[in-house]
Amino acid sequence: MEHVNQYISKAMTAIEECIVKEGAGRKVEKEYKGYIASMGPSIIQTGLIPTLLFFTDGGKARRDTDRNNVLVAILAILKTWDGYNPNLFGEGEASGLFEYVRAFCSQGNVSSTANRNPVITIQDLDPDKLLDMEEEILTVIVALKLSLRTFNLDKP
Amino acid sequence: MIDIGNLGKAYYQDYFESINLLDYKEERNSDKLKGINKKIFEQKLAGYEDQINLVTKSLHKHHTTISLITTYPGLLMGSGYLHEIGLEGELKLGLSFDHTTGLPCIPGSSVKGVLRNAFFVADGRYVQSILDDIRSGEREVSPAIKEMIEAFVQLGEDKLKAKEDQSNSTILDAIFSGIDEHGEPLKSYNRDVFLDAFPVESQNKNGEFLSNDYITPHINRTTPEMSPFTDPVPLQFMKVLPNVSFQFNFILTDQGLKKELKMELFRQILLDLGIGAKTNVGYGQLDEEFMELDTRRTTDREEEREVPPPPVPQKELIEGIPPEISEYLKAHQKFSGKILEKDGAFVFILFKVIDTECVIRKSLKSLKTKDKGKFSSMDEIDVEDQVIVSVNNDYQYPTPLNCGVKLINK
Repeated sequence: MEHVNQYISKAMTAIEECIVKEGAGRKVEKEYKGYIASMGPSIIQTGLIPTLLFFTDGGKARRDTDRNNVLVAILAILKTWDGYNPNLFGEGEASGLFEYVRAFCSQGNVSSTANRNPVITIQDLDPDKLLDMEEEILTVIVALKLSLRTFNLDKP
Repeated sequence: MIDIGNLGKAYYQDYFESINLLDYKEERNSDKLKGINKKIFEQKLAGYEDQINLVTKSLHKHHTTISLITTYPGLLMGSGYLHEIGLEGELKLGLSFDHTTGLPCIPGSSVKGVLRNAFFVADGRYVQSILDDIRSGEREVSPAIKEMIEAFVQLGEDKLKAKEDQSNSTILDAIFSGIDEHGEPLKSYNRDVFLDAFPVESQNKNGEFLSNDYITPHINRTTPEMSPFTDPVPLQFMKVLPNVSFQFNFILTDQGLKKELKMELFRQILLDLGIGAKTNVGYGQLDEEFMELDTRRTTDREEEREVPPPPVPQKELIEGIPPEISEYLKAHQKFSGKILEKDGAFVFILFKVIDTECVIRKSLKSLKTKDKGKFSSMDEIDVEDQVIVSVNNDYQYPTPLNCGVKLINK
């Protein structure tokens, strides 16, 4: 619980900066409550990588919302984590949460196809690092969910 | 059939294991997923006999079971679980699997929910109507259950009313909330327990029990009135096939209603209302008997459909004598042959010269009978009739052969 507590204030800031629309004050679209609530069970059920892929670019979001904003908020909070490595990306490289997790867990483990195209699969990822990342992200999600309760939900 | 182990793990944890994370939208990933889908659909229920035995043979003597069979188009439960990442060829919706056995299962909470909900349909009159049908004989049951109905009715109909604010909805409270008729909580071993339901038998081709299906929403979110004209988007998902028998398991007590009566009531509710997702469009309906259904997948049907052989192009018969045969076709030479084909007022005749086939065309009038007479009608001649071809003059290629033709047997 202590671990979650340390993320609560950061989660509130992350929600204000990444999820709340400009000029909306403390109003958050109701859909984000469902997105954040479903992310944890999805990680347990399907695994971290498929969940991140789905939230990045899978499935149609409702109203004018974007599931990716949840990942942006999580990454913003993770940057304050002791285990966060800011040097994983070069300048200009895509650096969303999925890309960060992939880079974090696959350091050095890049295989290739017969025609030498680089390939990374889930099996190539370091399972210990993946587990560490999964636990940390689940903690952040709990903090986000708790912090969201202090905002007003904007129903359609 | 390739054994993929725990189906639930294969469907969720291992499903995306082999896709390339550096470019997960690439087409090869879609092809991999199609291969995985095929492996899942080929699984046979008989291959999970150990898991099924684990469920069915561990039943306690107080267990009550009801076996019901899925009907067309199938059963879908657990569709709310996440299972997509936006790739073509993936299965979009989730399915509910038991964690230990990996079998698709209907959670006990879902079963309890469906049964409890039935008590609210038409303010309790739906359940009452089932009991009335049993009492009136419209539904056949054992005499013991009929007696119980009589005793129950004597308690008063209001016992069955299922209004939330009604204090005398004792049946509902006793079965689903564990509260006795005095408002006191029941001890846990005096309460009804609703267990998960598992598939136990499949009468589909090769014992298969899972397959794919599609929904094709065509919703235009920006201009909803244009939705009927919007292109449908096919979404593939997995379902349990029809003709799969599910075993519903309960531990029932006599609280509220006698347990035999409860079992009969629950059976009828499940048959009437169905269970799972998309019941509005036919999924989740159950029956008591297996049906004759063509449950093959669309691709299987297409493969098995008899494809008529392509039409054999009819060779147009023409008169033909190879030039190398010319030196052998001398005057007064005779050759055996046969009628090859009739063509209006003409016939084609085939004969061999040094094992080389020659075809000539002669009119009916020029043919002679064995008695050197003439034929008056084409009906007198049949294909395969044997003939003698007599060469009149030395043959000069490519001019027509000057010859006489006599039928041997006519």
